[in-house]
Amino acid sequence: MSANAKTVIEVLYPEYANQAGDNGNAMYLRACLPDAEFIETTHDDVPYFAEHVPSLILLCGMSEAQQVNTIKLLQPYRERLVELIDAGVPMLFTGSAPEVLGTKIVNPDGSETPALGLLDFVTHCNIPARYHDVVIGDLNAPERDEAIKVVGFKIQFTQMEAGAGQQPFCRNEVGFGLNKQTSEEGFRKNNLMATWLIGPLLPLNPDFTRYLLDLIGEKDAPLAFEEDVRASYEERLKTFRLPGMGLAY
Amino acid sequence: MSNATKGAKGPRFHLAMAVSRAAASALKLARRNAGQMPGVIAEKIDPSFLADVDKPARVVFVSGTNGKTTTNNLLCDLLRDNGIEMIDNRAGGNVRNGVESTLIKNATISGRQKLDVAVMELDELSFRTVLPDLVPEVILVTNLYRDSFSRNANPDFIFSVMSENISPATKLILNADDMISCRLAPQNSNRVYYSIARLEDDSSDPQGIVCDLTACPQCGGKLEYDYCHLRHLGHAHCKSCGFTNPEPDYELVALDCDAHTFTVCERCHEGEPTHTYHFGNYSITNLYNLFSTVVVARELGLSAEAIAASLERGINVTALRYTEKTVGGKRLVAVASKGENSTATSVALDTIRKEPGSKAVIVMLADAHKAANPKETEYIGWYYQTDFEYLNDPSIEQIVIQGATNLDLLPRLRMANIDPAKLHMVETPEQAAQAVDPMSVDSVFWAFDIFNGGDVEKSRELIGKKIEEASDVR
Repeated sequence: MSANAKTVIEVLYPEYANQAGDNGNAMYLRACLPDAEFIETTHDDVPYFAEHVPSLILLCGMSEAQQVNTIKLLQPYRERLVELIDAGVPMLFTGSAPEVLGTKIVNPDGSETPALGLLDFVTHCNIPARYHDVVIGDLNAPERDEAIKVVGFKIQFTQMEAGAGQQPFCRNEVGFGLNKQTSEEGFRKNNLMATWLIGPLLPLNPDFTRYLLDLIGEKDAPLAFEEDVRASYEERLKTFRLPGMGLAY
Repeated sequence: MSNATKGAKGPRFHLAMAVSRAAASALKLARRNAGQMPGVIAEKIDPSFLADVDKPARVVFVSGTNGKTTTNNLLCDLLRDNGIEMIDNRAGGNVRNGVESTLIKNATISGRQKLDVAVMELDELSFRTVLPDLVPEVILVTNLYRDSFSRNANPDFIFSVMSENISPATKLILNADDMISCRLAPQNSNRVYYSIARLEDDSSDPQGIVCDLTACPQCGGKLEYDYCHLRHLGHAHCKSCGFTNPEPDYELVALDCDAHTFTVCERCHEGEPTHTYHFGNYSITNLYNLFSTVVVARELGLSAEAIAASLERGINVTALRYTEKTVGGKRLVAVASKGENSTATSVALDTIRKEPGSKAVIVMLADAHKAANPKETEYIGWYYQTDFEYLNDPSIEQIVIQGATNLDLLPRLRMANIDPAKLHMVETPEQAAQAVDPMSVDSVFWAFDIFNGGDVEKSRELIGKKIEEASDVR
């Protein structure tokens, strides 16, 4: 088991965990960190994190069938993931990926899919109901004096029921959170960040990406195309606050 | 052959039929396309209208993520060219209300269907609202790819919606090269498969930055591709369980781009006869659309000779999404694709890249209708699944992006390593025309969302004038 001097980013199952443009997260990290090593762990591979300590583990959104696959693939490494979470290894789960971390997924027919149980929540999959929203949330990072504003989109079949006392990824001022009744979005446990914000979260959020890069030890790495990504970020901070703003579909 | 089905007709049905027909007539008098309106009205009055209305004896649906409109129109043209009178939903729309509107248009006041054949395009998600009340004789599914995520989620979801609603009584005509849609409705054994054999231009792996089929759909094992014609369409096998494409009933075994012909071997028929057909402009998407049309026509009973004769007479793929004008010797070409559809947009960009000569490309992908509503924002995640990398080509010398999502397109194009010196960002179609220097390139291309046709024409006209003025000066 070894830690790395060089930044190593492990992207789990990129061949299918790329729905809705979530692949934009790894794409942007590659642009920000041209010298980092990106390890793409595919379906048949032993995860890099099983024997090493990556700088960041990234898992993005996938279909419902692929969630079942992913749970099966990660189950043998559940204790290792607990160890890495406890050790503060940064992890980012986006889109529908956080659903593999809960205790179970309740399917539309009432059947249940046991999940990894790394976080205390239940996913209710309500297909064909589809939930759309735009989000502005406050991410309160212990390392920062001020909240980081996070913007994004939510498009999902699911609503989450969380156990008490867990830290959210962010608190939304715009848009629903884990379910329609709460503004608490996602989960944070040490440096594991899990959010249902979908698509290219990192290119949409220069401040959050800066925070993440700092967290993985890349304080000196400049944000790629910062002027351009910041222009769209600032625009969303304005337009998403307009009363009644929603996602066209 | 199916028989015409008669619905249960109560007072509500008759009222719905009368009012919706009157509305359709009034709109026709006003020279307005009724679209889905008759169906909307009918269903307001009789919520089970689609179940209650009579159906034509033969109904064919054409569905699939990409190519269904082109294929449906081509099939209609081919059948009509062979004297088959039929109704279609080109004007009505491909969802439940559109299908209802089409059947209303074909009905007498008593509700009887006038023509016995209907060939209609059907939206994939609408399988759940249409098929419970209308069992077609034939469904052609062209392919399944990821589509608008905000509406269609992922191909797995669409696959389930379609599969769950297909009757065992329907004949399925499926693309054997698409290992997603070829597995639709396993409960249905009435299946016909078509496939294109290996072609010279095939790639060894799926094309694009994302692929819709990377793992074996049976066991989840690693899928090894033998060849790909288009994106993930091709031939593959699972290294774990051996799962592979189904054997085709109709196989396109030879393609001659110089002679504009393709040859189909009918493996499902005695003696495995082969027939050669003419095609117009070649592209792999055109070939799939034309080939699948031929297969459906054959399954509906048209002779190969009659089909070949129609194609010789000029029945062919109508380039709905590709229009070209020439001004002063310069090509001004517009290539449309469905919004939020990364596959169709990537194919459009690839088409542009492969065109000869130097080019300027105007990218108009932000949906102008959505942008007109200040209370709505468009989902832009699909830009990260679209191969903008295709624009990073030496033949493309200028790129102009125009529309409400410019601020998101720009960083995506930067991530595709496009030289910022080539990039111009403008707000209006008029500014797009100003930003292009048409005299320094051979052609100007537009990659645009299907709803932005008006903006394309505005800028195309202005660029045409620029070329004419420059030519006059010379």
